[in-house]
Formats: sequence, C-alpha cells, structure tokens
Amino acid sequence: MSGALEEGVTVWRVPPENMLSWRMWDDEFLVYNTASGLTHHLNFLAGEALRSLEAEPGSASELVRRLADQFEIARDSPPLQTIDRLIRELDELGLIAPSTS
Amino acid sequence: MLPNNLLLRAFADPGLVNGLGVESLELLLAQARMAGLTARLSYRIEDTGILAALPARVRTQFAAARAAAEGRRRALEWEVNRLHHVLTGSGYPMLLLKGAAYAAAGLPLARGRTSADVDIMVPRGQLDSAEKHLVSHGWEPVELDAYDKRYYRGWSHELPPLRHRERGSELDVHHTILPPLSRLRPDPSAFWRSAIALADGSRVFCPTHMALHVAVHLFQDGEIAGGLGGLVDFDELCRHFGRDPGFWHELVPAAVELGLVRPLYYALRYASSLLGTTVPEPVTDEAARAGKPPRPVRAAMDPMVRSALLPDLPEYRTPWRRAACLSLYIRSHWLRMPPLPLARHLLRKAWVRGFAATS
Amino acid sequence: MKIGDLTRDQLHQRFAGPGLRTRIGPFVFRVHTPIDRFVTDFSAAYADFPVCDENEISDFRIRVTPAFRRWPWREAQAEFRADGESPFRTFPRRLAMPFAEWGLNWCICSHAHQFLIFHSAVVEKAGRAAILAGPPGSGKSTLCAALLARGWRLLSDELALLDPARGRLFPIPRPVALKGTSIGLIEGLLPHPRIGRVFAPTHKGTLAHLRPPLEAVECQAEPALPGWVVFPTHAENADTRLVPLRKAAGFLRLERNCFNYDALGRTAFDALSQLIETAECYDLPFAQAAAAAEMVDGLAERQLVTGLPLDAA
Repeated sequence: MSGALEEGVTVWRVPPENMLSWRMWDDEFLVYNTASGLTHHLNFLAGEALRSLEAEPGSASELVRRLADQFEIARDSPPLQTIDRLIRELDELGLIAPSTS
Repeated sequence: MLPNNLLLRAFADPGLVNGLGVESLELLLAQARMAGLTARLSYRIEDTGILAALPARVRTQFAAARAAAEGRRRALEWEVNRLHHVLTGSGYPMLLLKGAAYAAAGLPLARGRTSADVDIMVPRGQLDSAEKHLVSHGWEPVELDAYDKRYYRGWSHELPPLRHRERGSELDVHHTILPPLSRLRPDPSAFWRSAIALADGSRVFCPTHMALHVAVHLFQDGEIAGGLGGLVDFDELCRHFGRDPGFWHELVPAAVELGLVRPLYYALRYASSLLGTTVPEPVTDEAARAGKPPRPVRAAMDPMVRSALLPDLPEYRTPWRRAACLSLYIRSHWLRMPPLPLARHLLRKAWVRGFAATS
Repeated sequence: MKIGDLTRDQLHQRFAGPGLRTRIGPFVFRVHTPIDRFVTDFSAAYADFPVCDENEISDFRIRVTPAFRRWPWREAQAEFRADGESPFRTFPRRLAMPFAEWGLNWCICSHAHQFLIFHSAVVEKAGRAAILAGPPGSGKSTLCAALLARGWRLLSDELALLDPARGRLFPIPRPVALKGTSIGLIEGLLPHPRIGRVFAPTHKGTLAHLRPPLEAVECQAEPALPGWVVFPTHAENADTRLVPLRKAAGFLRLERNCFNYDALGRTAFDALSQLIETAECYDLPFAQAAAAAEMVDGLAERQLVTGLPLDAA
C-alpha cells in the first residue's frame, strides 16, 4: 500500500466478490456489480475513481492524489473536492467497502 | 402409498419423468409452474442424471426458470449483505431465517428457490431499536391500515414488513418463530444458543432448528394450502443433514424441548408419505410417541392435507378441495390467535377481499 | 398445415377438445376454449400460423373459458388461464380476443427468460433489425405499421426477444394491436390491411388486430441481428427527425424498456452492452408516421449503399 497511513483513516477497496464488469462509451462508464446484480452509470470522474480503488485500495486523500496526478489538475480543484461525497455514495451502493487490514 | 399427483410423484421419484409422454410432461410442467417449483424440480431431475434425455423445449423451460431463480437468489444475497452492513456492524445480532439462511449457508436446497423476501430474527429486547436503526438506513414500514398494524404489533411475532426505499426489497424482522399468543411458545433463546455463525458473521439456525422451523411454518403458522414448497424444503433438509446421524438423534429431543413435537410429527408423516423422505424408523416411533394427535384429528388431517398440497390447477379444484383449504386456513388462525378476535379478523379479511373483487 | 386450412368444425373440435397447438415465434402454445366467438377471432388473426403435431410439447397451456357471471345484470364473462394462473380477473366474453392477446404477452414476459425481453417493436430490412422502443403511447405500433408498408419485415409489434448467447432477435410476428385513431391511420398506410373486428369499449379505447403479413409468419424462424435502436415519440406538432443518441444513454433507456434485465444479471449486462456496441441509437420525435418511416428507411438504405457490415458478429 502506498503512502503513509494516519490512525483512524479509512482505506477503501472494491470487495473481491464484486467482480466488476466495465463498459465505456464517450467518457461515460457503465459498470455491473456481480455481488449486487446492479448496473451503475458513472461519469468520467466517478468511473476513474472507482477503477483506481479497484486497482489498489486507498484512502480518500490518497485517491485525490492519484486522480490529481492522472489528470494533471490541482488537488483542491472543484471536481476533486467532491471525492468525499463520492466515496460515501459508492459505499452506500456497495461498490466499495472499508478495507479490513 | 403415494397419491396420484404427478408433481408430488416427480419430487419423490424424479427418475419417472424420463418415461412420461407429451400430455403428462405438459401436466407436470403446468403443476410445477403453478406451485412455483419449476426450477427446483429441474435440479432434482438433474441430480438423477436424466435431464439431458428430456425434450429440448422442456430443458429450455427449465433453464428459463433457473435464470429467474438465480436472479432472485442474487437479490436475496445482496439484501443479506446490506443488512449485515447495517445491523451486525452496529451491534445488532442477526439470525437469518428460511431462504436467506439457505442461500447464505450455501445449502443445495437454496437452488431454484423463488422467495424474494428476507426474514431475520433479532433478540426481542432489541426489536424496537433495530427497527429504528433500519428506518434510518433506508427502510420504511409498508403501508398498512390501522387494523393490520394493530394485528402485527399486538398479536404477531414480527414487525410489520419493512421495504427498502431504493431497492424495493421486503424485510420481515421476527423475534421468535411463532406469534406470542399461540398455544405453542418455543423459547427463542434456544435458537440463539445453538445458532451457527457463518464466515461473514451472520448467523443461521443449527440443522435441527432449521428443520423444526420449516415444520412449524407449515403446520402451525402457515396455511398449508400451497405449502408444497415448504414440504419440499423439509424433505431436502432431511436429505442433506440426515447424512449425519447426529441430526436424527437430536431432532425429536429438540422438538420436545421447544414444545414443537406436534408440527414435527406432521412434517415427518407427510414428507415421508407424500415425498418419500427416508426417516429412520426409531425417529418415526419417537415422534409418534411424543407428538401423535388423537386418532380422530389424524383421520381428519390426512385427506385435508393431501388435498391442500395439490397445485391448484382447474382439474383439481373440486368443492372438496375448496373446503379443505378453508378449514385449514381457519385452523391455522385458531392456533395463532386467542378465540375472541379470530372471527372478527377473518370476517374483515373476507370483506376486504370481496370488496376488491367487485371493484 | 396452417390454422386457416382447418374447417370451422375442425377448429371448434380441436379448441374444445385436445386444444389447438400452434407455433408462434419460438413458442408452442396449446390453446383450449369452448367459446365460439373466440375461436373465430383467434383463428382469423392467426390463420397463417402452423398447426403443430400433438407430439410437439408446448411452452404454455392456455385456457379461455366462460366464467361465473356473479351479478345477473352483468354481461357474460370469461377468464384466461395459463398453466392455471391468471394475470387478470374475469372480463366480458366478447372481449376474449384482446384479453387473450394481453394474456399471451404476460405468459412470455413472466416465463421466457431464455431471452432478454423488451417492450419494443422489431422490424428488419437488408438483413438488419431496427428495435423501436418506447412506452405505450409513443407511437411505436403506428411507426411499425408504416415501416411494414415500406417493405420492412415484421419480427414483432410488442415484444423484442433477444437471445443473449448470440445477440440475435427472434421473431414473434403476432397480430399488431391497433388502438383508436391508428386503426384508420393504418388503413391509409398499408395497401391491403387485413384488420379484424373492432372491439369497443375496453379500458384502452377501441381496439382491432392487424393480421401479420404472410411473409412475416413464414419467416418466423429466422432471427436477425440488431442494426438500429430507435426511440420514437409521437407528438402532434413535432419536428420529424432522427437525433443520434449517446451509447450510454441508449443503454440506459433500453434497459428501462426491458422486462427482465434485473433477473438475468450479468448475462443481461453483457447482452445489452453487445447490442449497444453494434447498433446505432436514435431518438425520433415525429408527427406523421409516414415521414418517420421514411427516415428509418433512410438508415437501411445508407447501410446498403456504404456496403459496410455494422459488425462482424
């Protein structure tokens, strides 16, 4: 796991049983979650965030860092300010879960 | 001696399906569809090894039924996942019941089931706070009129059903397996004591209690009519767990401890006579000694139960069958509620149903 | 042998006795009824369909039978049952035909999960199928009939059946249900419309059934690969035009149009993805069905002209 962990910071991951299946058309993602049987429509940022966590678990701040690097934008730019809310929603939908260390 | 009903006979002896002509196959498929047992029947037939020999069109119907059942199972397992997420993590122990339990435990019995609702049990003392907790996480009580609400809260053993706002799934939260005012009052602490923990931390009944719960649901709580699926559940639990002699040794003693011998007696009796379940003779004798009803009651129950379990195709809808279903329905409500409210409750249900039919 | 080849007596004997077995699309229906009028209506609408041998096992067992009248002032009632189950209460006996048609839809949607089932019309030209998807009232039946007038083959008026394994649409060329004003409209559009008895009133207004073209029934065993997904919306003063749709939007709208998407899980996701990948998606607001049909026709012509296959499936 990259980056130093502070105590009490949640590390998020995509549970292996989700076995996500992806399609992408014109910057929009459709993703199927095998565990829930649900299909989700994600915009570009949400899709890239989820793919990032799928590739490797990370905390919210870690995710912001990765996306900022990937898209060459500032870490405090408006899209990245919504990451906390995005993580809550992805958790509610069961797409991600806290990593049990 | 098995009665001459094709669906029952096919469950008892799936090999017979191989020799059926077109007319009989069609009757079997129609009966299975009516009873919601097409997929389950197909697995029984497959286990016998004759599935490939059946006509392609039959196999297609089976595959379609299985696909739908798998969809339900996936939805059921996801509901359990989300409930676990919400309840267990917050200190509410959760015991899974019926279909949710079979699926979570990966029992062969879970294949092909079509129940979509989730049933769970929580300790009685935590029932109200669990309900509040669920409501704050996306569940809401199903719309009930004031009368039914009083029935649930006052007389029943479960909360009024909850529905998840977004997913639309239904949840029944119980604190015991029978209404508190029933004549039979098993102590739920016995269930918790013997419960088995699954890998994800949720709990299910131990095998003996699973079997007893089905028996109780069929012959005490439910209305028997249309309960063929329940009897098949009991049969499959016995076949699966019965491979361990310990299951049979504990069955009657557990029933005695919980005061559930009468429903167990009926379940063993009818599963063996109608579905050919192999029950060790000592167990049959023990159950009879402990739970056999008086001869006149037995004599009345036998034909009524046989008749009520037949799928409701027009060919079977004789006046005799209608009477059988009606008296079983009255019986099950009599066992659930004290006498005084019963007539009022039944009258009201009949009125509501009648009104809806003419509107 | 076709249903239309049987004499009136033979028909009544079969329906009232062992039942009439017929193949409709990929399904074999076995239909029992003692109701004379229903025998006449059904046999007329399905005259071109094959009669099956008694050894051919059926997918659905249908019974349309007289039902208890309950109140003496009510007209004669009937009921529809498929394998003992019924999707609706009793209905006036004279309306047995439209109710049976709804009943057949219900059978397919409830049980035919070997397919992904959409609430869409499907027509085919030049080897490719156009799915006309939309809610009731969108005008898809009228557009469908207008395309038939332009030489498109009818695969289905109401239900699109997609085989998930190979992405093909299977025909089920049943009578086209025409409601209210579209009855007159279709009579104007088609050269020799074979329209049955008008039923009135039902809770959906007046209703009649257009017999499917003979060619459609004769080719009912020939599936087609999807080429286009069109979402028609009829409005009196709409500007008729084809508006290309983003694929993700096409996926989501078609998914909403699907009866059993949730049930089929991953299979559904993969099959619908494959369809959207290979087919072009369009919105089609329209005022006149004939003009709308001309636009859709243009899509097929373009494909012929460019000569490029839309996919290599």
